[in-house]
Amino acid sequence: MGYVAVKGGTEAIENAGKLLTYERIKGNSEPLGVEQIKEQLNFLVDRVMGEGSLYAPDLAALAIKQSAGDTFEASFMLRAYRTTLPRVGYSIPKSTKEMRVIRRISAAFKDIPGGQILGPTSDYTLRLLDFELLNDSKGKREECIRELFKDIEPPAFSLQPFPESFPRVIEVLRKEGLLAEAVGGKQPAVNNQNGIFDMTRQSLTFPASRSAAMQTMARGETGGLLLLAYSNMRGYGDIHPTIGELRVGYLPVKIKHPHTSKPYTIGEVKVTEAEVIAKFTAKNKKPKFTLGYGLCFGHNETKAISMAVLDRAMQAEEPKMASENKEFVLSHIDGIESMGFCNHYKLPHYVTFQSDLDRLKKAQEETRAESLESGVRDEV
Amino acid sequence: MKFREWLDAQEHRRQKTEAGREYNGYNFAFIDEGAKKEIRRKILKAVAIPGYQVPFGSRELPIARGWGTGGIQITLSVIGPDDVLKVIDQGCDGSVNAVNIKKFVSAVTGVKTTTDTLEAAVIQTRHRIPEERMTEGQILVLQVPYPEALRTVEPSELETRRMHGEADYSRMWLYLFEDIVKFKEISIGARYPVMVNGRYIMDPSPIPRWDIPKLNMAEALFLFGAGREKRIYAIPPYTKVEPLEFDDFKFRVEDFKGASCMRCGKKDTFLDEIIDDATGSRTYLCSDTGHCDKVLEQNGDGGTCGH
Amino acid sequence: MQINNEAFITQKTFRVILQAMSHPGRVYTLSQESGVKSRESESEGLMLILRTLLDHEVGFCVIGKEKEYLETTISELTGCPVKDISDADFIIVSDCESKGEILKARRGSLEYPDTGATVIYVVEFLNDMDNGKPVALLRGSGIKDYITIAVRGLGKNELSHIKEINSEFPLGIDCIFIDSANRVMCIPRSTRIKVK
Repeated sequence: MGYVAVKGGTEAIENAGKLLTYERIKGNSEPLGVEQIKEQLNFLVDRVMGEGSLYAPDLAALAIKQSAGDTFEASFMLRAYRTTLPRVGYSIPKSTKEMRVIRRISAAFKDIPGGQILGPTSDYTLRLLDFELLNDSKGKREECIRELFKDIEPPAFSLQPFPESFPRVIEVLRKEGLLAEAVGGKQPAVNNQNGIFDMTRQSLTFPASRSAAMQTMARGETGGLLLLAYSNMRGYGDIHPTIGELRVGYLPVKIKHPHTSKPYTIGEVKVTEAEVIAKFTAKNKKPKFTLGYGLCFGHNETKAISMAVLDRAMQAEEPKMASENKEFVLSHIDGIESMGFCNHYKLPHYVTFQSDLDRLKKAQEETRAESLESGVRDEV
Repeated sequence: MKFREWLDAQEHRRQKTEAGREYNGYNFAFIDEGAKKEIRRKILKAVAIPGYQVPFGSRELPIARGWGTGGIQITLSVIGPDDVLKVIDQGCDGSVNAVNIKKFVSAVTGVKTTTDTLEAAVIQTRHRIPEERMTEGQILVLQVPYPEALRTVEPSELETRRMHGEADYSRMWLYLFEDIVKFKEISIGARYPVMVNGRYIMDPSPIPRWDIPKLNMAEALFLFGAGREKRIYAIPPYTKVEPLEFDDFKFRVEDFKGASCMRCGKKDTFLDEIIDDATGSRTYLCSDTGHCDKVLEQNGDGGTCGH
Repeated sequence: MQINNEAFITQKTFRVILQAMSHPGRVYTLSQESGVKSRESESEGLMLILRTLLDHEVGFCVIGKEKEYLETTISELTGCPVKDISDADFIIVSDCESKGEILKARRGSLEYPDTGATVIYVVEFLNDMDNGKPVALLRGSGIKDYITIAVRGLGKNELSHIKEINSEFPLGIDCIFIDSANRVMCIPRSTRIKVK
């Protein structure tokens, strides 16, 4: 029969879930260990932690295993788990100067205070499939590691001690008065709690504060952020970014000790931070550079740079392009929300469709047209 | 602490997701009390300002956004252990989505469920209002995909907020007028915009036009939840709800041209159209299965929901 | 699942308030004991309502007798910070009348009228009549035709103040009245008040 409600589906739902599991486990290969995912698919784990907005590498690896590598589903599981966790407290805001840096570059200056550190990056690798990896083994890995470190002296004997912290590149510009502090744009007063918006507790309303925008982007879907940032870079917008500094490293997480109120380090999180220097404004007479900022969990440079570009784009005083429109950007970058809504169209829509059919038939009668190309309002 | 140790320490609050679910360690009604408090405050504001969309800090649930998370959050915030719950999708208690939601809510609250509209204290629904008139004290929770009725004419939230604030609805009326010019009819099928209490234009959720009159001066309380869009709104009992219409182009409900339900024989209910694959002939069945069952039972046929 | 007593008490209380807010002018009874009443002057019903609605995410203030004592007690009980009257989400009038203070309450903006305050009045006795006479007649959303109310102990200008504040719908405040017998009645901003 035609379109009737799917009923008596309890058994069917349960079997569908079992079949989904079957698809993941039916092969002959060894079961994938959570440790393996965590250590060997680190970029994937980082991405899922960022979009799931929960820094938990083990849980993220578990979610990746369970979802068979679907990043949307894995992030979603992490996000759903996150809601059930009690909120113990807030971390103390800290400057990223304290970052334990593993990579740090600037495209603005050749020489930067503290020096450029290339670190782990695929930027200059040739993207050729490495067929050697087909014969990967523990022994080969050990050999590779030995080879890598054989000429490197232990830090104790090296001439220059590794710096405790790196000065930030933009500080140089700031000291010379080349940087505009806050670029225009309407700053709303509504919905601020203790000065910082908490997007896990409050509903995003517009105009949104910068802290709300930052949080929304930090948990945004990498592809979504990239799309909007790219549209701006290509010409639907004109901020012309230069990467002032890009850092990857570990940031200490500090909280106030509940009894002594002294700062107490409870761990560290791996983050990627991007600061882009963009075209200057002539506000307050003296022309100055403007800044865009991005920071996300894990090693995800595409996301951090896209964030920074969008942060700057959204400060446009008169938004014209999609990427400059705060409401447009912030309403469409959440992977969990957009994925959920996209998939909800699979749910039955018999009633609304029946209602639309009735309207169409009526409209056809009225206009006596042979057919109508459009006119049925898109319905949920 | 090692991951395994930590996980073992979390044993009491682990969720088992396979069949035979258990929710040990979770709070009554799943979401934490802090979240419920916020949702409750927002529900009261929604009732106090009929038809106005109150923003709320929508939480993530283990059910996807767009699949009724707004409705579920409202249901979980209002429901108590003594309540009886009914859940329908497309009018049907037995549809996959309704069964799923009912199982979840009942597992985390332990409430009894029913298919009888008049027996339920709280009814959660997607796309329908039950045929039987609900009475005082009952609550109907509607799942909402698009809370903003003006979105058709204006994509920006900032601007639609302003339009609602100033009751500047000229563009909505113009839209309806142009629709009539084009189609000689208002072409909106489901999700027909209404004016609530003479002040706010409101999206009634994608219910058919058939159900719109049930919103007017009703005895029950209607709560609308949009989880993805993070909005809650309400129609209190005894509140004027009028579909937007012109004097010479009246709002009209769906016309089934005298067709009747082939199961219970009713002619005054919203019908699902069934097309026979082989013959191409059309027959009809009640969309509200709970009501259809009741009618059958009253007629002495004693059928159960099975179509 | 955890059977948490507090969760059940607040759920029940909320449902009563929800019914009261949906049916302005009707009197409902909060059925449970609140268990927190350290002074005779404290209203048990008030404490039930506050435990149900207040937490650290909103702010409140008290107008009337024992202002400091009540603000401290309530803040400790709910974790809710004390705010200035013009910035409070919840305003508690502990002594039946605000002496015009209530005019300073937040009324919300046209874009976000829900930011208007909720005002909780502690009164002596709620009914539809008092000595055979109502004090006001209400009409509006949630009310079939009309309803009469009598609020014993309420300051005589209070209803006029509320009426004035709520004269520019959707801006305004929403009022909850609680009496000594734990009975509750609401007047949301959508209600039109005719003082007799």
